[in-house]
Amino acid sequence: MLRVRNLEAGYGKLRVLKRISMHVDPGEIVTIIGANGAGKTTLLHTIAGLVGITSGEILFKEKNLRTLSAEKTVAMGCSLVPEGRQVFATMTVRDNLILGGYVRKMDRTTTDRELSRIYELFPVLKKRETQLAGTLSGGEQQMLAMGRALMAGPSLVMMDEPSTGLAPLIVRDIFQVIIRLREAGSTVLLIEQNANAALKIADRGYVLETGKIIVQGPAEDLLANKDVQRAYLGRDVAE
Amino acid sequence: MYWEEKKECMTREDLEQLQLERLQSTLFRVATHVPFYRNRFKEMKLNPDGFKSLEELQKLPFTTKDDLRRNYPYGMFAVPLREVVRVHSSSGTTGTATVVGYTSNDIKNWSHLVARILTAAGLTNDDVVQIAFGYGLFTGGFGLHYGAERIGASVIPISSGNTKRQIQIMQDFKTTALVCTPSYALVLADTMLDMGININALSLKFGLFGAEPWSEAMRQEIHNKLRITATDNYGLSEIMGPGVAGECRECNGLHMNEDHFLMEIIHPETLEPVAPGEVGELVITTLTKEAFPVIRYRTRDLTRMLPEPCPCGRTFSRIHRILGRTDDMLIIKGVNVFPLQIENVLFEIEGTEPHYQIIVEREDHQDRATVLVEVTESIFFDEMKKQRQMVDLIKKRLSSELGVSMEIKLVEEKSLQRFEGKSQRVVDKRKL
Repeated sequence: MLRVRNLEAGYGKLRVLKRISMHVDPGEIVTIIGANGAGKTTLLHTIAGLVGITSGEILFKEKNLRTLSAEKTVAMGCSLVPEGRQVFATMTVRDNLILGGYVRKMDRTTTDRELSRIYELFPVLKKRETQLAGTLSGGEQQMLAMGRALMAGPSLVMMDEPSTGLAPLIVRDIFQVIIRLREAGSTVLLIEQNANAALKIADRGYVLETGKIIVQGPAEDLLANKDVQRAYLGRDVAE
Repeated sequence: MYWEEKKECMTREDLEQLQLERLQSTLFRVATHVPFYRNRFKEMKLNPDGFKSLEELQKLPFTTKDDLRRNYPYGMFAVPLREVVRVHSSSGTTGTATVVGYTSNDIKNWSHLVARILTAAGLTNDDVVQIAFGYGLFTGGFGLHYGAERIGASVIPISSGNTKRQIQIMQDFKTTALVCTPSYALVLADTMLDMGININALSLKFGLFGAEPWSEAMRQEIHNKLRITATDNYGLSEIMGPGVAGECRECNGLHMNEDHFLMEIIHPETLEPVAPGEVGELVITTLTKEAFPVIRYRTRDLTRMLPEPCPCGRTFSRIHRILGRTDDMLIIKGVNVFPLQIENVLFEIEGTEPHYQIIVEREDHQDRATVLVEVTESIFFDEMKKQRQMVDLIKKRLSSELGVSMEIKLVEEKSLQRFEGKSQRVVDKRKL
């Protein structure tokens, strides 16, 4: 579904991503873990078309994303749930969701059908439908951000640190939703600082360090990999 | 019947993406953790971060058995010893031993890869598997053991040797699959025939053979004597052990587990890749090994790629059964000769047994090669004329196949030594 080869990207003279190769197959949950500043968000933003590519290629459903704008990327079925939610605080929950479906240019009945699909996935959003998004709790805002991305009918959902700043109980709910998303046929690319939780729900993972992928493999292998444990899972391996 | 259908039948395009990703992170890890590779890359002014395509593989350095020996015992390990859960060692029959290590992930992958090969050969959790490979530093016993357990088969870890006991257990425990070297399978078969055991009364259905080169003739003989499906599997401890490649039920070449091993076939002298389908030395790069990754390891095994797709549905490329060792290569009167070429010729000739020995001597600065060939009793005790005709026929066929003439001596059935481990076909008496 998504295939990245030898991707290099950055800001101005700063080369953040160095020769990244990775892929996501349909129906998979793939996670990218790594320390702060490793380049995880830059990688997602480059795929989403928000950061320009220096070299390499990004193929999404066999099409080169290199020349596509961010909105065209969304229209092709690749949506981003940004870090820190970034919902439109002064708009209602419902309007936030409708805005998420903008690229599909849906008529009213389709919009309503899509809305009820989202409400089924996140019942709490139905309850808050007419509330302003800014009045929601952190967990509810995260669900709204996910719902908004899903309104575009994506085949690939990219999530940037969905657990940031949320209480552990809420994080568990969010991860449950990610598993349900996959069961409903979505493909998920998940960036997480909570490496342990991410690897537990993912099929495969990549470890990013200073812009390079240093280890990759099945999630269970990464959980058992001593380097990964030391650096990212906070597990103390007895000296 | 696949063990991991999604992997074994993946498209070549998906496979190449996976191989590239895995090779890139392997290069990073060996450059960071293995001084041998770090120095080699530095000498060659090679930036492992600049590696962008599988086509660039030829720019990477080779690894040889001597490199491994020079780093004896732990110099090639890419992880600290406390992460190594297993150590194996090569037999050391050809010089200093080499040592290889495994992390727990390596052992898990190893089990799965052997499970693929057992499944491809037709085994299921209903089978009773008698593993007559040595258990110990040799990888054969343990490798097949874990794979067989992984598919849920009942494993009899009898280990090698003690032929009578092997036969007793094979009968009593109702063994359905035999794992050993092909020559030992024939030892078992001949012993059973001598003991007057009714082969048809055995439960044996499958034979998985490896650890030494063998021939189509031996497959036929094993099939005729033991009435089993005999499949070939390939591995070497420097790469992992068994599980590197194995035959499916088509019995026509071994599928390489290409998502874990990248293979090339090169000319052993020029070191350039051979044309697709040509015979050359198999070179393997590991893609997932954690404790003991190797880059472009020269296996010294000769084979060739079989380019046609396999009817079994697996997309992994096949190699021909191993045709010999680059260091088995005999130079007789300046001509390169591989013992298995001789075996293939004998297979074509009725009345010969697939047991032979090559004796090479030097007299007055002239090479002289003699092939001792076992023939069936009827021919051996037959009139001289028939024997002479047979000698002439073998001579003619051999010299046209090899491009060099050899003396032929017919010997009685079972007069040549049989080997329980790897067989020794060549006696080189030349003092160079």
